[in-house]
Amino acid sequence: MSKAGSKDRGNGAAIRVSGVTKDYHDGERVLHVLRGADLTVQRGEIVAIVGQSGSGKSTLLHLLGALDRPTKGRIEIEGEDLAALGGPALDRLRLEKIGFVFQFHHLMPGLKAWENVAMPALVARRSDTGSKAAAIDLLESVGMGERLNHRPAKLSGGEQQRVALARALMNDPHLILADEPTGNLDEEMSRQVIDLLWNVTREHGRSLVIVTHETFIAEKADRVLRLHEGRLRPA
Amino acid sequence: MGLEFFIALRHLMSRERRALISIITVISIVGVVVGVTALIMVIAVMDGAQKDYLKRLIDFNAHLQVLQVEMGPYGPRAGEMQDYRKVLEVVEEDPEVVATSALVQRFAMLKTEGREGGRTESFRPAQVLGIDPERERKVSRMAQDPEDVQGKSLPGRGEIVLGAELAAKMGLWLGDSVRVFSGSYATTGLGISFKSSQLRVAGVFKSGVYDVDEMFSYVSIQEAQGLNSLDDVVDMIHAKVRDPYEIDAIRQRIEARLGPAYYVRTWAELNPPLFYALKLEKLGMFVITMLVVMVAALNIVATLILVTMEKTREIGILRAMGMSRRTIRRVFMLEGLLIGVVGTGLGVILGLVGCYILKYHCPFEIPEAVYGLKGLPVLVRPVTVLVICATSICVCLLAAVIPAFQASRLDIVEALRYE
Ligand SMILES: Nc1ncnc2c1ncn2[C@@H]1O[C@H](COP(=O)(O)OP(=O)(O)OP(=O)(O)O)[C@@H](O)[C@H]1O
Ligand SMILES: [Mg+2]
Repeated sequence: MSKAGSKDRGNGAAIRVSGVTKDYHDGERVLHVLRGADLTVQRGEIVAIVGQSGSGKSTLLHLLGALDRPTKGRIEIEGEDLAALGGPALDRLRLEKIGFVFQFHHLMPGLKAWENVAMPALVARRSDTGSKAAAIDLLESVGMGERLNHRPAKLSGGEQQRVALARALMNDPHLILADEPTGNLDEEMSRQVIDLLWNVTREHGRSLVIVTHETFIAEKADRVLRLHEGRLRPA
Repeated sequence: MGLEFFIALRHLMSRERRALISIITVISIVGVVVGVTALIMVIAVMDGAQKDYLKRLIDFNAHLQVLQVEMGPYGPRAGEMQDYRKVLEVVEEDPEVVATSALVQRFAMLKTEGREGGRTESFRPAQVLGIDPERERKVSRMAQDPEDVQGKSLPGRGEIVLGAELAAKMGLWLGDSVRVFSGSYATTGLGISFKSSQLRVAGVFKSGVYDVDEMFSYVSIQEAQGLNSLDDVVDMIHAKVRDPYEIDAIRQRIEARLGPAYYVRTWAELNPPLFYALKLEKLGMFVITMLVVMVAALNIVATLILVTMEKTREIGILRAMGMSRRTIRRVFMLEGLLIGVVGTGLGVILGLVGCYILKYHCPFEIPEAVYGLKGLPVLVRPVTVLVICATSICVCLLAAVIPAFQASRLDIVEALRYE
């Protein structure tokens, strides 16, 4: 049903954001983090978002990833209006269509690398053995075939981020949202992770929205947008 | 359910450096174990004691009493029964009745003289029952069981059989004599003189029911009639029935046949305070042990809230991945269930082992006077054990409800930020 809907009016747009605002209430004060952001991301497109620290990049990405709801405005993912979806439908959307790579990897500390990667498939109720095999494949494809049974604490920052990337890809999402995936990596490691991210995005015709500080990343993107004073403008 | 189970187990048996949760899990399981073990053992002992006591009581007394109703100044009261032979016939006609007897039951004062270097003079009230020994032995267990009787069980002319406690308190033993004062008196020139006779202690019995042993004594029916200046009348009829638990139906039949001039009482009515006390005691014990279970439940609530806090970020990650609130709730309910099932299972095993030990290798002596019983009677009813299990597991599940909702309602972004 959602696929048919997206064909009708989506024009291939993976994301369509219009007039989105987000306010945070801090006691008496109201913080207007987003003040009418507009954004369209086509299928297969890679968009980089830059902006000062605290400008609301993570906030925007959380909204795109259906982790939070906007104060005002409309967000469509593959033609579906998120405001029209209830909690369980949003859960399913996150599970099936979106792969999120967090600013701080957010791996589950008690789980082995492959278990972390397999988790989205298990949440989607896919079979244990199939999930494990797929997780191992993914880990091998990000160069982590030797670290399957390590727990996150035993991995380097770059390795952790690669595991997190493999996890984001586990349910074969159409849309990847990456929030400074190389935030605390050295340049060499950053390049490795970014090359990988670009490969997996391009290979399957996925869309990618990546938040970043680093110019070399921004330069590789199809488009770069700057988040400033709550609005997105071409940089 | 596989995934929920996997996550729940990991929450309860955290292998991270801070193994606090595992320790707390163990503590909350121990809480459930203690509660269930205590419940099973306490109720088994109470049930055992009650059954044992009831059996003695029911068999010791007559199952049924028939009294004559007469109008007194303050309304109906029990009176002397003239036509008791006819009443006996009617009662005996009931197919469930196996034996009957007629008796006189009056209050009396027992008096002993002091003895040189021995007992002091004493004066005690007692129920003196005048019985037809041959018939009464078929109705009540009184004096039937040779183990419980010293000397003669059935009094002849000039003899009295005393309850063991009564005898002990008055310092009487077989062959001693005791003066029995009845309520029947004559006015003489010197004032009022109560009728009395000097009787020889021919037997001492022990019923196992403390109150009976302290208050009751037996004489022959002729003795009692003479002592109380009665003609050929009795105070009541006793009957024994086949099944004492069918007593209410039998009572209705007999009452219908005898008419309103007679009143029929059953063994259950004869001892209402005792039944009430037993019931109350059991209820009290149940409430106390339930409190133990409640503490265990609070323990679980605390444990799971702690898990929720400790695993907030993980819950955020799972939710961000697309795990539903329902699944999160199920994970936490499952944690409550796991604690409940493991705790209850261990509790049942320990409780049953405890009951076995109490019954067959009781490690301590119980003073007989406490329950009037030797050792600890233990009765494990499968139904009771099942009810305890079901209750305990339900309580554990209920305890998980609040943490489960708390965990499922976490805001995803906030949870991811949580340190
Ligand atoms: N839950 C919240 N309550 C109140 N204020 C918040 C909340 N979340 C974010 N903010 C504020 O909103 C603003 C934007 O935060 P956000 O994390 O989106 O910034 P960012 O652009 O991702 O910054 P960085 O580059 O440092 O990651 C910040 O000023 C932050 O303090
Ligand atoms: Mg950020």
